Amino acid sequence: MLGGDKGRVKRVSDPAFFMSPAESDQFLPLFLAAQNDLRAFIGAMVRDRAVRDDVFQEVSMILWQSFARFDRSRPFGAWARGIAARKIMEDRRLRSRLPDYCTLETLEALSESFPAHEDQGSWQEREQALSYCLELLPEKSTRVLSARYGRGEAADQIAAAMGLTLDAVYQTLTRLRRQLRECVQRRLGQPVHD
Amino acid sequence: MNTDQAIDPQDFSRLLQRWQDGLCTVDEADRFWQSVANNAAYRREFAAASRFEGLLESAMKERAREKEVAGFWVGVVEQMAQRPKQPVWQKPTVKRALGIAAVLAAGGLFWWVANFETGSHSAQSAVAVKTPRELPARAPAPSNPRQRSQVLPRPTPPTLATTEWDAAALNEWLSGYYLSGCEVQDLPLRDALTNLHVQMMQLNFFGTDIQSRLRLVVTPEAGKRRVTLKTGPISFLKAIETLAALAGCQVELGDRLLTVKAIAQPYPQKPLPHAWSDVLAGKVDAEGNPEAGQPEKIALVQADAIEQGIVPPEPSADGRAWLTAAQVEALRRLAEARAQLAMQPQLKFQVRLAPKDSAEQERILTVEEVQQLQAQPAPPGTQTVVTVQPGAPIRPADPLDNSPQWQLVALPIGEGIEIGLQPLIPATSPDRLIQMPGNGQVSPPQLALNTASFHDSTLVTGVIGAGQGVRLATSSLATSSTGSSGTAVGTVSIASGLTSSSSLSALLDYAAANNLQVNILPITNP
Repeated sequence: MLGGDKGRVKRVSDPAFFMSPAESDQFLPLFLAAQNDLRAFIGAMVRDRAVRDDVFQEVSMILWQSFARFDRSRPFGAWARGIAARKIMEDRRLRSRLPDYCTLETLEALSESFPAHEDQGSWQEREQALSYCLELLPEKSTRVLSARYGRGEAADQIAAAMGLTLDAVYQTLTRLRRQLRECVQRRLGQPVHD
Repeated sequence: MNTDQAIDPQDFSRLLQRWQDGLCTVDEADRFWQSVANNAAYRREFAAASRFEGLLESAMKERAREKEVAGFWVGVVEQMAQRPKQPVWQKPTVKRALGIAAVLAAGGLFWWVANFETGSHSAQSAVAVKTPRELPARAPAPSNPRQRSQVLPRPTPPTLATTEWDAAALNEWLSGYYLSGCEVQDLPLRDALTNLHVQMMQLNFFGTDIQSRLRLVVTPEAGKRRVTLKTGPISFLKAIETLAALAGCQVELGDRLLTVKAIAQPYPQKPLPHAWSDVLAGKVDAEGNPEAGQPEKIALVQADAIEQGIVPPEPSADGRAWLTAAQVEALRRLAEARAQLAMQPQLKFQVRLAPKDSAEQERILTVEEVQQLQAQPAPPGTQTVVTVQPGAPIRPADPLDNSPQWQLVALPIGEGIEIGLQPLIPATSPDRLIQMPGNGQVSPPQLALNTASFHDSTLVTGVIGAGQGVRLATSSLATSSTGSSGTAVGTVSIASGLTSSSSLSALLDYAAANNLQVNILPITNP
């Protein structure tokens, strides 16, 4: 409330909390550290890139607006993914694209499979390792990856542009993902799982 | 859950790949998600694959963005194509910065987040900027309102779904959002811009959906240059332009895209001798007079340079200013920012302490309520009128007292005006009497109210429309008036036209203790 409720902020026109400068100071580092996994979590369910970006954006705003309710004793990323899971399940359009087995409980369990503590440095290490591994690929492979992940082209577009069959594109993508992932794991000194 | 359709790891891996490629049939999708639901090891595998896919997408978007940015420079593309390709992993800074920028840009989130070389430390430093408490004095606004409106029309955000945001539209829109200040101390440009964005998000919290669509991208070379800047109220765009200029960069606007790029020239630059008037070369004021010939304008530029630490307070022996091209450009931006601010119309408000209604809560007043309140004579000693020029603090009537304890600051935020009540002195300072200026005449078309008390981190904010006001309920304050909020209260006296308050909280505490409520009303009477 006014004056005496230290550190709490609220809008006159809206009962929702609005972030104070102090809270925004706390929010940003947490969000930055968690955003990559949050995006990956959303991407696990939402395959359409444009829709995924929209969901990520909406979830980010919800996190921003709801930060006053965040329990600071909990990992921010888990909280963020929990909100994302609810957002997805509450969206009829998104929900309709998912199988019945994809429930809120499943998504929460999946969320727990992500690292408990966010670490920006770890992401950067992986990024560097991936950059190294990408340099080892033939140019044609890089072109496929650029088209698929850089420009978000559909597989049939890639097939047409590169003179490949659709099946060949999918096989190439599957192979490249596996190769790169193993390369990154080796580069980071992690065990490689088949 | 149903475990009838348990699958082996190979089958799961195959389904996972098909899920990721969007190839799963309905049956396959069912089996895949059933496995995810029932098997923790599969969930871990799914999470790991999703994380890796996110990493891969980030990296490839980063490369795409790098090509896009590189393609901007005329003549540079061919040069890049011919040069020996360097291993990308040798440029982690570049790659990370581009990657994160690309990821966020692709998300459409108006959020520039840069390369965090030191992890969270960098992020923390990026947001460690404080809103300046003291606002610089500004040149008076032009007296002709018509002229003002011509110079700085109120931006009206178009509907994004149907409107393309060309550079001019984006320039106008971003120029209509003001930050209460920009204080950056030796930060990489990328972090400084991150901080601006945080402030911008707060300002635009009420606003249009452009917030969620506008993209802000900083090229890697630009993002790592370090900048220092301290300003008072400044438009969002001008703050970015000034920071960019300091870093030897330029800002480009396009459809929903704001890009900060390093100018292709050596950096850091060598200072060269300039006349101070060089900074204002080519600029004209609202009356069309060259600013370079106006000593008062030149003096303000010089003051800016000293305040920013660009030049020492003592004039150089030859009377010239030794400035880099980047510094000249930054000073030009600051001069433009000052002119922009001076164009803003003066606003007048009435702050009334009124007998409290039962069960009143802080809320927006309707236009009709404002009219009723304005028609009623305020009880003696319970009202004061404040006049404020955007960005300028309230000046007490008593010339002996030049330290008002709180100030009312008005800043444009897109469609409206944000009105902020800010305390000026530490909580432990003694109370002092201040007197507000007299009656005002101008009614702002739209208002937003933002009352802020820095000392107890309390902020009450909301948007009000044309002619509306705000009622601040004070019932909850009585219990907190003895220092629990960290605010000095002391003796607060409200007399005719005189307000004594060590902070807004003290004013509100006084109101609560006396069963009063605070109304802030736009003034419409001539």
